[in-house]
Amino acid sequence: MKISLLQENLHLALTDVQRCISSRPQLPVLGCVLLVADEEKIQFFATDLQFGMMTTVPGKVEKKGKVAIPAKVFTDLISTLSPGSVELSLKDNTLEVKTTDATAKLQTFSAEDYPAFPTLEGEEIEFPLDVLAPAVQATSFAASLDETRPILTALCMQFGEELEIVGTDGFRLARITLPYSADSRQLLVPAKAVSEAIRIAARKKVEKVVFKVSDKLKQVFFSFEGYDISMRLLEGQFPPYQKIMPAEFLIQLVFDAEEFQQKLKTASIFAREGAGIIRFVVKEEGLALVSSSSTFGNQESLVRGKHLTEFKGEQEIAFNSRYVQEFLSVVKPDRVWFGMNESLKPAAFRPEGMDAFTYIIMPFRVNG
Amino acid sequence: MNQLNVQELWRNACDILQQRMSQSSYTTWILTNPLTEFRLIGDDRAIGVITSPTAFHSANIEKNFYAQIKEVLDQLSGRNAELQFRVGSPVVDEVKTQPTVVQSSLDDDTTPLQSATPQQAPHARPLRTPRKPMSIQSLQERLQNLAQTKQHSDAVPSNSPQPTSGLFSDQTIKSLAVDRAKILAQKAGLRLEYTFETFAVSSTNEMAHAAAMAVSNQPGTAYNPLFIYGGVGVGKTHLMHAVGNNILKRLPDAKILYCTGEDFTNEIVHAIQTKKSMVFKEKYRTVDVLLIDDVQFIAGKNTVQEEFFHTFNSIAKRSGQIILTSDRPPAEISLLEDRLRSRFEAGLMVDIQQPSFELRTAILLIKAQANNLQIPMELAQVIASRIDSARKLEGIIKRIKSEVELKHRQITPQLIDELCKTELEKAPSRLRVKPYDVIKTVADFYHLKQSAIRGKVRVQSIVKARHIAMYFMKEELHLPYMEVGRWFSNRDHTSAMHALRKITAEMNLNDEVRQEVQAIRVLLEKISK
Repeated sequence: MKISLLQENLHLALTDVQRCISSRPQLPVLGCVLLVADEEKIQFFATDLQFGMMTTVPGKVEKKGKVAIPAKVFTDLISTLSPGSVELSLKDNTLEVKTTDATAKLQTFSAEDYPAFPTLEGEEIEFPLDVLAPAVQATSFAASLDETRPILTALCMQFGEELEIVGTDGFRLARITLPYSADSRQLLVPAKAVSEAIRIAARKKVEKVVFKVSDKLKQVFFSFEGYDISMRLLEGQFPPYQKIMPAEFLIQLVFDAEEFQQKLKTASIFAREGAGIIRFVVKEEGLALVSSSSTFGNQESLVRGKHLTEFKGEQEIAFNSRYVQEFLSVVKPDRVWFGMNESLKPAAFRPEGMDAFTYIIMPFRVNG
Repeated sequence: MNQLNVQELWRNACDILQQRMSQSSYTTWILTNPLTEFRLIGDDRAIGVITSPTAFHSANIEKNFYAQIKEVLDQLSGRNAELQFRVGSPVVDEVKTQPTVVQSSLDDDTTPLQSATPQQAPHARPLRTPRKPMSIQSLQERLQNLAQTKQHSDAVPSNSPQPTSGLFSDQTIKSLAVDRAKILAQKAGLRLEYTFETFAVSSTNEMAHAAAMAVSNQPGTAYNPLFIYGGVGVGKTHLMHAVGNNILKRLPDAKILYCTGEDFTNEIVHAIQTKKSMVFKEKYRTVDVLLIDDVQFIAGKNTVQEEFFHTFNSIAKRSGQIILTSDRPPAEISLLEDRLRSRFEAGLMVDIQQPSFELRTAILLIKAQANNLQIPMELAQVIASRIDSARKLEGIIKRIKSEVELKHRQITPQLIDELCKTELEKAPSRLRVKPYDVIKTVADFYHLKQSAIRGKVRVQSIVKARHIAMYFMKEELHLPYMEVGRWFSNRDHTSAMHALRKITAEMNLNDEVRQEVQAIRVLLEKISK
């Protein structure tokens, strides 16, 4: 095998596919990327057997061939090379990486040992990217990363009269409703993998995201220009999220997001040792953020806001500030709508006026 | 081949395959991808199904291990095997149990995760910062954080934040379900305090109570429509709300609508005025349970009756439940269209009598409890013996409450005596109405024209209304007989005397007349100044 390509293209392709590779691969060969050079087409494959990616890189193929290359070291090596042409050639089991002023030799694995990818199949679903990308972004951050409860690592796509996309880790939940009508069904796609796919689609500036859902293979395939990304559908029962959506909010107020974020940062300083717990006090003038530390002191700062409901006296609720901060940094609202009922009942945040989106947080019980 | 034999065959195959390949390969490609079916075909062939956790596994086994597995299976079974691949959970039993396991760990407050760190459940774990590379500093900070939170929670456990249960704990789901039921009840127009639990039952209303219970347990099938009738303040409305609340409790998604006959009428008028009759139809005809209070009010109003007829039919067609209340049975609602009357009578009609002494005592005690008042049994009986309507009992409870709370008085026999006395004195309050009001009210009540009552026609129904109107003018307004006669086409004073005697006598004999007089009196009291 002998090919040449640009370092920039190669580096980008490797960083993308490497996201599929597990930090502790089951088999040595699964810690590799598979390089396939075929008449004028250079492809890289990577998978952890649940999440797989294929990308095509433009380049020149002088001699066809394929090889499995240890991903980590290969990516690190390519990233340190200077931009420009890179030549890759395989002799026996050694891959030679050559630029104008550097040469490296890598041990490789046989391409024959590399697992085959499933063939694309299934029913096609299509979304405009500018709808799906923000929706996935605004919900996937709430999903869990804890692999011991795999169901919570899923993004739930509930099809029906409308499409609801929900992510939750059991303590907070983000739900968005999209006007997309389809037969009623529930798809549980891994939140991490789907965010990756959407991230790449956004970078590629595709207009429409097309994906295939195969019930037979229990797999979802995203395909767009130069990329095939496939991920396993999760199975099991997603938590009954409809049941924990409060039917109404007795206290609702809106305030400026920037001011809120600023005050939240101030409050976080004194909340560090209390596991990030900040008390939110609903006052007539707005929302007061109260935090205290037994060693450093305490603070109280007011975010001025407008009540949408009648003010009936102060109410207090405590949250982990990180849950609130993540909402602000991911969703990036201009003005924030906040709704709550009682101290110990779930409360909600959303960008003002965007009823299609709700972010629910389970409050803390604060003694004293 | 049965399940056991398949397992046996696969175990043997695994033993052979394990020796032929590397351990990690064996674990990844063989152990987690078992043979789950082995169908024998003909004398010498078979089809084996390999079930894999993901499509990647099956794609790769098909490509790289097909020959090896086939060879072993052929050798063990003595047949020519063909392999098929399936993605899914390997054992059928597991497929079924797995979701419930996941479920319980979510809903249970004592998941291993939480119990491992009882003071600071997952909320307090040093939390990930997504899309930010890990650095030594961040690790350092996290470790410090962990140590501090641990220290902190150990040192001052009483003041440290207690994480509430998770978002999907039973507690959260239940409490939100209660909130939702409240809102649904409010939307349906139901009063939350009117439930079966707060409804006292005795012989005068047990039939109605039993029917209402049956309807609330099987809406649309038990008795449809349910028609409850009885005098004022006997608990018709309470029972109706109780049915609605009970249905909502069991079926939160049921569409329930409560309104009075008057609301229904007003809404039609409004819909016609604003040209929104489709909205009206959509609202009423699609409900699962329709509760209409004081349905007698729609009698004599043709458009309203017609609309109600269609509403009734379309709900009944979809086997939705209809419950109606009225102050009298359908047969006695004059000017009610026959097609409506026959429909009302097609279901179950139950009446509620005036509450007995025992029931009044029970109602009094229930209402006292709802108002946080402790009224001793003897005193409750004293009150119940003196006051005969449930509404008035409510009034007296309110007054006792205000005496106790505002004037800080004790509940003593003297206080009760005082309040009941004023209540009794107040009861036959003088009607301050004009003779004209009496005629109008009576005419409206019987759906007659005022001119008919005042005129000379001697049809039985009109004569009865005329007599009642005369009775009120003499007995309540204290007009002279001459004057009374003059209001009714210059009748003689003896006609008025006859009317008074007749009605007084009938009221003692005939419940129906007494109830009607009582109902008209209530109407007059409302306009009395």
